[in-house]
Amino acid sequence: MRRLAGYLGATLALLALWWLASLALRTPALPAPPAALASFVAELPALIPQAGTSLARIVMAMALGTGLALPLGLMIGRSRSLDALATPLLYLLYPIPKVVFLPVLLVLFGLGNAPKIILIGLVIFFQTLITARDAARNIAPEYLRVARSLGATKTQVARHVVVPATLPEVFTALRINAGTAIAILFLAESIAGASGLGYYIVEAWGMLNYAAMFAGIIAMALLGVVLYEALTLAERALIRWK
Amino acid sequence: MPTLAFNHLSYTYPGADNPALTDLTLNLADGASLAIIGPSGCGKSTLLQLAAGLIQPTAGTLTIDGAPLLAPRRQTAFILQNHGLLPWKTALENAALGLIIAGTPRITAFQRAQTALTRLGLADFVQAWPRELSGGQIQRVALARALAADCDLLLADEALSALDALAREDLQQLLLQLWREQGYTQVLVTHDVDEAAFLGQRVLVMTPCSRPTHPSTLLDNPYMGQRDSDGFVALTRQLRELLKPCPHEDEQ
Repeated sequence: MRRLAGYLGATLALLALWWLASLALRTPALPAPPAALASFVAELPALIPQAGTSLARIVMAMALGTGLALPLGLMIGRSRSLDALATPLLYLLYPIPKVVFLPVLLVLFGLGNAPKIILIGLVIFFQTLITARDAARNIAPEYLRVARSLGATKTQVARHVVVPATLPEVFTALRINAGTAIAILFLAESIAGASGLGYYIVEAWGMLNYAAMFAGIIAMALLGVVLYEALTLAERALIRWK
Repeated sequence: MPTLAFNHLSYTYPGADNPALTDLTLNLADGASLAIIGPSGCGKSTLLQLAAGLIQPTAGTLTIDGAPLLAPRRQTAFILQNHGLLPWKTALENAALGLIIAGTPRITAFQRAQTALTRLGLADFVQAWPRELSGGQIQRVALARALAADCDLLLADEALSALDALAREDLQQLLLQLWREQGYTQVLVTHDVDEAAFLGQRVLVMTPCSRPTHPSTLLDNPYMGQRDSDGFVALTRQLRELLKPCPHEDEQ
C-alpha cells in the first residue's frame, strides 16, 4: 500500500513538473500531460502489442545475458587461474560501447528480433559477469570453510554458499541492467526495426505526432516499472533471509 | 571415536616467511577432550584447520585412526566464532547442512536436525534466520549440526569468545555435557583460561615464548568441569603464568 502511495506521489510530482515545463516552453514538441494521457488511452490498442514485443525482447535478452554471465562470473571469481586468464580479456572488451556492434549484428542477423536481443544481451552479459565475479571473490572465507569442513564438493559449495551469497549483488546488477536494457532497446528499435516501443516513438516523432510520441514514452516508463517490480518480487522470494 | 596423531606436524602458509606451526607431536586418544590455549598468531587455529583436513601439513603427518587425513571428513564438526552459520539458511537448514552434504535424504536430515535443535532448547527457533538469533543460540545451532550429523570429532575455534559471560558459561556447561553423553573426541581452541581448564581433559599451552611456534606445555587436567575446586583455580593460575610473555622476548 505504501509502495502504491509512493508511485502515486511520484507520478503526480512528475506530471506537475511536466505540466510546468510544457507551459513554460510552449512548444508542440512538449504537449501538456492531459493531451499526452488522452493520446495514451486512445493509442492503447496500438501500444499494447508494441509494448509486448519490447518486453519480450528485454526478457529474452536479460535471460540470455544473465544466464551466460552468471555461472561464468561465479566460476571466474572462485578460480584464480580462470581469473588470470579471463580478466585481461574482460577488461579489453568491457569498455567498448556494445552499440558499435549493432551494424555488424544487423548484417549477420537481419532486421528481426535476433540482433536487438543479442545487442542487449551483450551489454547485460558484461555487466553481470563483472558483478558476479566480484561478488564471488568477496565471499567471507568462513562461509566457504563451513561447507568445506563438512566435506562439501565444489558443486555443493557452489550450491550452498557461492550462489546464495552472491544473489543480493546479482539482483542489484539485474536492476541496473533493466534500465540499461530499456535504453539500448530504444536505440536498437529506433535504428533498425518495424516493431516495438522504440519504433513506435520514432515513427510518431517522424509524423510530428507529439502526443502519440509521449504516449509511447509513457508506455516505455510503464515497461520499466513492470520490469523493476518483477525483479523486486523475485528478489523478495529468493532472498528472504536479509 | 577417532584417535588423532600429530607427528612432527608443521605448516607454513603460502608466501609466508615463518611457519605458523612447527614440529608438533601429539597423540589424542579416542573420546578425549583437548583444549588449546595461546596468544593470537601462535598457530592454534592453524592446528584446528589441519585437524579438519582443510589444509595439508607442509611437513609431518596427521593421522586419524592410523590413516593420513587428506581431506575434510564428514564425521568432523567444525564450529567457528563467527560466520559458523550460513545466513541464507534457517536454523533447521543450517543444522541439517552436514547431513544434506553427506547425501542423507532431505526428510531424514530435517527430522534429525529438528530433534537436535529441540534437544538444545531451540524448538521454537527452527524456522528462524541466523540474524534473528542471539550469539548463544547461533552456537547452539552449530552444535545441533554436529549432533544431527552424529559427529565423532568436534573442533571448535574460539566458538564462545563472542558471547557474554553468562551465555559463555551456559554453553561451556552444554559442551561438557554433550561431550560426556556423546563420547566424541573434541579439540577446542580458546583465548579463555577458565574455558580451557573447564573443557580440556588436557590443555595444550602454545606460549608466545617459542618462535617459531612450538607447543611448549601439555598439561593433564583432572579438574575438568570443576570450576569451584581448588585444583581448578590452581590450574588456571598455572596457565596464566605460562601465557605470560617471556622476558627475553621483550628484550628483543
